[in-house]
Amino acid sequence: MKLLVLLVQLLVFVSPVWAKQDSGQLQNLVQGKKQDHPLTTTPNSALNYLNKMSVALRMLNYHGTLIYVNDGNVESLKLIHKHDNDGEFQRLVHLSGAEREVIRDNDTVTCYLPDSQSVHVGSRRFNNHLLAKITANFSGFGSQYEFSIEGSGRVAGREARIVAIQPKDDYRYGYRFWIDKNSSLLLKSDLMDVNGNVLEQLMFVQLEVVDNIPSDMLKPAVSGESYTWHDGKEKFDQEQVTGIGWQIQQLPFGFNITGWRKQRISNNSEPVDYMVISDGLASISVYIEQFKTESQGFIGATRKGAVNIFGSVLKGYQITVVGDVPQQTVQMIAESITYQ
Amino acid sequence: MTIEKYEQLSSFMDGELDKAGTKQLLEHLCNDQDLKQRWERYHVISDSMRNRLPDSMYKKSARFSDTVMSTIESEPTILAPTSSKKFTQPNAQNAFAQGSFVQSALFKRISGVAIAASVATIAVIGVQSQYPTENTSQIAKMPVNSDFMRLVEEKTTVMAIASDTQENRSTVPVIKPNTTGYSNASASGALNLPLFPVINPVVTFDPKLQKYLLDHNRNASSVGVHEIISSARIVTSSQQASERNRNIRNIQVQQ
Repeated sequence: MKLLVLLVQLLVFVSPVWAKQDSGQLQNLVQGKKQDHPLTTTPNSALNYLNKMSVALRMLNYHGTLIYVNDGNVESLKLIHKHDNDGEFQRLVHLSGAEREVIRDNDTVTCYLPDSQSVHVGSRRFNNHLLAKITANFSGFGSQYEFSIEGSGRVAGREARIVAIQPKDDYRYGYRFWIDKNSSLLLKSDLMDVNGNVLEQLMFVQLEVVDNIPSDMLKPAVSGESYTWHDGKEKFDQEQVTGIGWQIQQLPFGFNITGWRKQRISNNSEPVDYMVISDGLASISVYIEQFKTESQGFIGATRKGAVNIFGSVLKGYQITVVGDVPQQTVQMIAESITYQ
Repeated sequence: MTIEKYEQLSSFMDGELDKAGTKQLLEHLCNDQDLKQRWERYHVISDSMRNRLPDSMYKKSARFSDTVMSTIESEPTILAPTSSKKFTQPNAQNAFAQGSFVQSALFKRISGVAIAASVATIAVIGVQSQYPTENTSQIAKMPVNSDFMRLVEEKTTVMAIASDTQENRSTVPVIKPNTTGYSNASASGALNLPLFPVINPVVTFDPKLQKYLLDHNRNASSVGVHEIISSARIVTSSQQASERNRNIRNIQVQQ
């Protein structure tokens, strides 16, 4: 009997259809059952806490108020998260100014931006939760990051355990998470550079875990009827873009191209070549589009909070690299793209 | 010529540069990487003298020697530009040679920087050794944002962006770290972190890049650690961008 249980657990971990197994795993995690995965055998390891956090973030029903600090701004936001038989639903609303909000309904992401009178719809095509990555591709990025437990703290009136993900070089950023000891939910998150300087922070000031989320909490504040809708959900044939001839000569250690397709980035634009590069934790988007004389080119570096952008122009094409990584990473990628 | 520019920069910071000189200097600042780096350094130095640097810059003493080495290697010398190539790959054999290089380079740098009237030599040593490695090397290679410009846009816009950036650079940090009283240490007993992080100085963000940012956060960022953060970036960035846009326009109107 014992052997059977072990076998089942092993199957759960090996299963490629990871998402479907979440409920069972959450129960295991919450009850603190010993696990057979080689990387999470220690119940108190940093990885185990991160696993629990990822599962809790997706599987629980909760709502709360949080602050988001970046670029000298402190902003207040409200988060509502629901999980039931229909899947996962998350709504994040800005509490001051225009009612900007982002709704994630399973893999569909809708952004309501009243200031620009627009609604952007897109689908998340690269479904890579931290959970799936830590357990499935840990060997892929374990050499670029170090995981550790840094003690405990208190956030939003809740006792928290502090887990750090430290980058081993300066081509990527690290994180520090405050994870609720009771619910395993994320209470606070710091994005740090390799020296430990905090670049972006998100912190709950109040958080409630509930059994049910009433449906009126999930409705967007604005209907968006009179707004311009940008639908980025259309599909493009993968075949169409293979052999396009763009190559990245130099990727920082551990980074790989994880997706490539054509897509529109706004309503009226031509589809552009789009590439996602990831080291398992950080992600970088590469946009390559025809450079038009009437449009203006971007050359050089800029950033928005912790997201760095580097632009370059090559053979009549505009290359824009965007990523939650240090500037030198986006720059290296942008400057090493060649056309074969 | 180069020294003259540095003197101009120094007088400009002291508010002693005449109108023609200012115009000339600003033009140089837009095109001259070296001068831009110098501009940033002078401000760091002057901020440190007024005790306005974020705390984190003072907490790096453990990496003292590393930081000194990398800083010196990545910085140009001022008075007598010599080939420093043979010193950039430290190894056991040339350890001695490297030691003497450190001394002479440091001396050159100090004497060069001392041109700025508002700067004391002692502060130079302090700041250069404690300024975080990443910042120093990044600034040396590619000044954050300052070399970012549009290809076809008129010069006035570039000037506007440049002056906006300068203005922001002098106000590091935007949010001051809370060093007394309310730090997390009292609550956790484990980590001595400021309640609010030392936030990056605000940089000018071109609103036309907003679409890439939105798209990245909507699609790829969920590859990242958790989705709350990518959603937060979306709902907060649009407002900041429009405000920033307004500021740039105001500056242009004034000109």
